[in-house]
Amino acid sequence: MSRGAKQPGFRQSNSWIHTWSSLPLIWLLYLIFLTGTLSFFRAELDYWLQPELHSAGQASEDQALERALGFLAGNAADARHWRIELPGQRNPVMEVNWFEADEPITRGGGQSRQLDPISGEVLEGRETWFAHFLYRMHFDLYGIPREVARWIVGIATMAMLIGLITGIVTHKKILKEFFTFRPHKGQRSWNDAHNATGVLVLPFHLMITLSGLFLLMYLLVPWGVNSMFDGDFRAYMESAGGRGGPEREQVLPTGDLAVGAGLPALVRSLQAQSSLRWPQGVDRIEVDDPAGNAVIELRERGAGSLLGRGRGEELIYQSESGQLTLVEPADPGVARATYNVLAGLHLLRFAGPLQRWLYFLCGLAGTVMVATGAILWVVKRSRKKGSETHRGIRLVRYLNLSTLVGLPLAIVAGLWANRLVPVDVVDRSQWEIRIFFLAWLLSFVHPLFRPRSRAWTEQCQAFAVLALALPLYNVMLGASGLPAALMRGDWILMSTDLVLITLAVVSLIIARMLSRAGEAPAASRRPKGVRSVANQGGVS
Amino acid sequence: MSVSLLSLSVCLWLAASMPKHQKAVFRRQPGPLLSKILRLSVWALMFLCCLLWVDMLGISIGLSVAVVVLGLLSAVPLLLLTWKPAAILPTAVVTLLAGGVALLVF
Repeated sequence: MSRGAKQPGFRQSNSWIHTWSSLPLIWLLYLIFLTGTLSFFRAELDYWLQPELHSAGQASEDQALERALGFLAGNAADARHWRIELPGQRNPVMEVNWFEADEPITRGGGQSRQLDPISGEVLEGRETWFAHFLYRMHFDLYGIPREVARWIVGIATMAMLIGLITGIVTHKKILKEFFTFRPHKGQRSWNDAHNATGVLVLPFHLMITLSGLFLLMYLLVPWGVNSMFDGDFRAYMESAGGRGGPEREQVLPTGDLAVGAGLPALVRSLQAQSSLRWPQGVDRIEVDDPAGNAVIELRERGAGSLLGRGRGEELIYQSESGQLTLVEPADPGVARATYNVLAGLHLLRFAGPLQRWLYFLCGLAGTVMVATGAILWVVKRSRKKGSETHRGIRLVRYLNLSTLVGLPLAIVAGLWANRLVPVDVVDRSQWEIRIFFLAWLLSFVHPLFRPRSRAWTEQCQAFAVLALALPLYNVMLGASGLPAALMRGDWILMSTDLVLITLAVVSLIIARMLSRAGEAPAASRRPKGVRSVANQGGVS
Repeated sequence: MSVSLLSLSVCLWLAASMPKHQKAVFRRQPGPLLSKILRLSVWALMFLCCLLWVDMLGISIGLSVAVVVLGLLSAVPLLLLTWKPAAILPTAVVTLLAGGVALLVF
């Protein structure tokens, strides 16, 4: 640089870092944010994806437990282990698992059935992995080795954190313009939208990014575990008191328990005792050796503190010794507490519906922030001479369309696949994923054959039509439709359909705006003084 | 419910107390003393809101929920200031009264 050349200031340097640390990974960040946001409602989406379960009635915890115990006693009396996941606000259907004598007790293993909590009948939900697929995609991507994927996601998260910090430094009027949005002002409007979605929920963005990094810290910074435990992560976790941190045990009196009245009565009395202590109820009950000296374990739904990673208490009864023990998270050390709080905040295991909705809205704001950032990059450069032929700008434009609209379009296509692929098709859940990728691929191919503005409009319209038609199709399924869900008070089905309708309407509005902006060349021939729609914020 | 209403009123009052928006909200620029009193009251109200969230949900979950709620609800004054700034003041008064009454009654 020549002596006379002006050095860029601190803010300008940060602006450069903000742009160039985010842009190369912005589409991946969009995918991470969108799939992460949807994953806040993973259990609810999984329920929505299985219309066969929607006829199940809503029962109290006692009723559901009665049915589950009856089913297991009748169908798995000789099993070595029972597991009952009771219905809750996130899933009105209950699930029972059992493991035969020679089966290892694992998380997804054994035999499982979904039951109607009122009648106790077995519900045959269709085979679907789509909710789980979106959740795994958030941090494991798809089709690449897990460790590589997590490194990629970790680097993207790091870029996001850098983007957030440099964004704060760059945004010189962060407080003055806290409530500012100037519509119909082209680049300024995009800038305001990017700032507003970033600044209003900035604590959330910082927390979710930092906690995401914390969750990956053992992969990104493995040297501590490597040097002290020879890379044996299990040994490290054990020394740190397990995944949730240290626990405290307290022996409780067994006065009110139905000891000697048979296993079902004993479990029921334990559940009754726990309901006095746990206002959110019981999440899961496990019975080890139900035919012999049973060990019964009840786990609290939700949690009162994040210090235990959002994990609740446990109540354990051992038939052999007759001892009832309460296991609660103990106060961990400072480092562990920091990790637990951040992991708990990210994973949201403690949360009820209200907190999930808050996270969902914040996640959507984050998704919009990333999307507007990607668009802003192009809008800023589109007025420059030669931008139409500039390879970099054309590539970003192309990726913007195929990802910002293409990904939601592919997700809706996956939801349609869930509804339309016959229930008895082999590898059914894989077909949902294949159709998701096929639709996404189409959104990459489509802009190659259409003018730019038309391609944006058409993809937005396609998303709107698909998203709007899904709730209508659900009505034809009877119990899954909006009116039936409204009558039953099934908020999961109602809110999923309403979110789809809202997104469809928003997409239609965007398509209309884009369609108007596409007419700009004709509009630009208007007499002077008539404002061109293209300058009102169309996507370049 | 009462805490959510109070949180919304905090966001609205915060927007109204900002020098940049005062003229649009109050139709005239309030004096420096009034401005200062307004700003201090808003921060006091915000503090009260955070305390209420903490009281309801415990310190770690309560504080994180408070921060997220206040941020999300800030979208309301943003939208009102963009398209209907005159509606800020009445909405702020109504939500404050409704939230306060709900808090006292329930």
